[in-house]
Amino acid sequence: MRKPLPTAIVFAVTEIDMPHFLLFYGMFIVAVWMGARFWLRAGDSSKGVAGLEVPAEPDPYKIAYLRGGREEVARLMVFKLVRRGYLKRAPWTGSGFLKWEKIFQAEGVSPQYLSELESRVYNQFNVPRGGKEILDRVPNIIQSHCNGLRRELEREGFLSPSELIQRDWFCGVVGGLMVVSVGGLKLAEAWQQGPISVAILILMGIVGVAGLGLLCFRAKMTIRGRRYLDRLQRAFVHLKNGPESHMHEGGDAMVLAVGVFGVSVLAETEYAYLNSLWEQASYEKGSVAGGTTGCGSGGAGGCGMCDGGCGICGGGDGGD
Amino acid sequence: MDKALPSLGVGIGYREPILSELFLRRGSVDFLEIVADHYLDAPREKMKELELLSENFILVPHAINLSLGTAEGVDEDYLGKLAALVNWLDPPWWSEHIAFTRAGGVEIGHLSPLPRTRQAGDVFSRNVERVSERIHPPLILENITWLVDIPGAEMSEAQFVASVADQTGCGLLLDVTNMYTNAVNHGFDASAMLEVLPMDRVVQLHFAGGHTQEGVLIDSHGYATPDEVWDLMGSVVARAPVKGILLERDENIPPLDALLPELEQAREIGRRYRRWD
Repeated sequence: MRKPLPTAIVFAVTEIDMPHFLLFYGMFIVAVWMGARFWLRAGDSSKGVAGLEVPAEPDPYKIAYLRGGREEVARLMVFKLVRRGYLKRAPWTGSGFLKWEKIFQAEGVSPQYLSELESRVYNQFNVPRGGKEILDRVPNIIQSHCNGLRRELEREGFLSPSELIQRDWFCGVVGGLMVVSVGGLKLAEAWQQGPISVAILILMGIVGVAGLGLLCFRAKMTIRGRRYLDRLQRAFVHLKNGPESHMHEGGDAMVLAVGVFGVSVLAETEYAYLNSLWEQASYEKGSVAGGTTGCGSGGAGGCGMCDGGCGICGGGDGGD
Repeated sequence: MDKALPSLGVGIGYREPILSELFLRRGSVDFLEIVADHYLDAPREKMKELELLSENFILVPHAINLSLGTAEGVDEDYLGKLAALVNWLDPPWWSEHIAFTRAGGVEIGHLSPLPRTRQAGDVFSRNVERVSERIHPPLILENITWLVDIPGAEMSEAQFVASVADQTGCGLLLDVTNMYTNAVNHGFDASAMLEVLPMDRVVQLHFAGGHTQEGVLIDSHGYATPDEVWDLMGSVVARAPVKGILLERDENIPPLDALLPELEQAREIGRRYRRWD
């Protein structure tokens, strides 16, 4: 009697002997990756280059949001308040190697010229705050402002709308199940052949699923968004090395530099302690996203620098 | 000259150190001139830079090494690359020098003046004709500085430039600093050239400041523009339908802010004679 096709495929796969199965499995994983990539690119209709001109008056907050979401906007807003003299560095606390950076309100400065949103952020600093505390509080305060930025960026095709993100997740989950299922078919046989076969099979499965994760769960920034950010970073590349020397018609180039590249540009400036502040926040959080090499959270430049985009490393912005 | 060419305003020669400042001060610069040779056989990163510039500024390519005065004809390989670049950018015009940089297959390494003879003019015209077959945007021709007056000249510099413009049908990129430099070094009156040059063909101007070395004025593009050049620029703009004026700076490149007053001064001269708003 003829078997139904899926059963026949399962049967054929289980019939492959182990060394050849590993080769087949590797090829299968690559095929799933390619299929996922094709699916994702087909769904991203934002690839056009029209309207990618660098604006005459770039909005640092909007760029920061594109690059790293709400937390990057929070970092930028805090930096701007420091830069304008409303906030300042607090004396170190702790002892030995553990010296925590904190910032608080500067004395003798009236907040009357701050916008309502800036005032609300400023009011959080009536006591010295460390990086983690700041990132626990400020992103919530600026949530509605960030929603506006997000809508604008979606409208311009720089961020994926939520339907597209769901589509990407669906793709990742289906692809992941396929990789796990096919590997699972041979797990029992691998077990009989010894721990090395099991280890190789599991490792391949992990690599396969992780690759899919990188492909599919990146992905709040569209291809067009990445191109736009790339152009901004190319245009303002000289601000990375000495932003303090560039004041411009539209405002403070240092704020723009932090918006475009992240707080890492402050490394050689008088504000370098802010880098430490955010690094300590990452350390306190103990999250992958917050490391100094990371995207969006740490001091090293944000998501635009890493091709993967913000979804996997943007630190909790999925709900924006 | 073609009246359909757009009026560009005031520009600056693009140099990499001022890239970010150009984006920060977009309103101060109307167009950029790029050295075309920098983008022939350029690495990917350099081409990305060009792509970025072309998306955000009006670009005018300025070629250096086409050697339009070479008797054995232009280098077809170079021409092919230049044509690909200029045609891709599709600028309002592009420019080269009334000079040669190659002779007998040897690269000279700098712009050399042509003998001011009818024969040299014929060679030049023939080369321009060949170039026009490959490159579609209009070509304008720039006068250069010269230190050695090649013997056997049949005409003055101004007459030769006028003759070449007439033979080729090209517009002129009048470098007023070069005019002034030659006048100082060879002891003639630069403004007298304006009586001979076909002013209706002048499309664009270059200006810059040079320095004196061992009694010779060098067009080094490294210093502030002298008053005499500003005066000459005013005289040219008063007579010629200038579409663009461009500052060149290759040495001692300061922050762009320091150059903006010169751009503003040039813009004001153009406004005074209603070349632009």
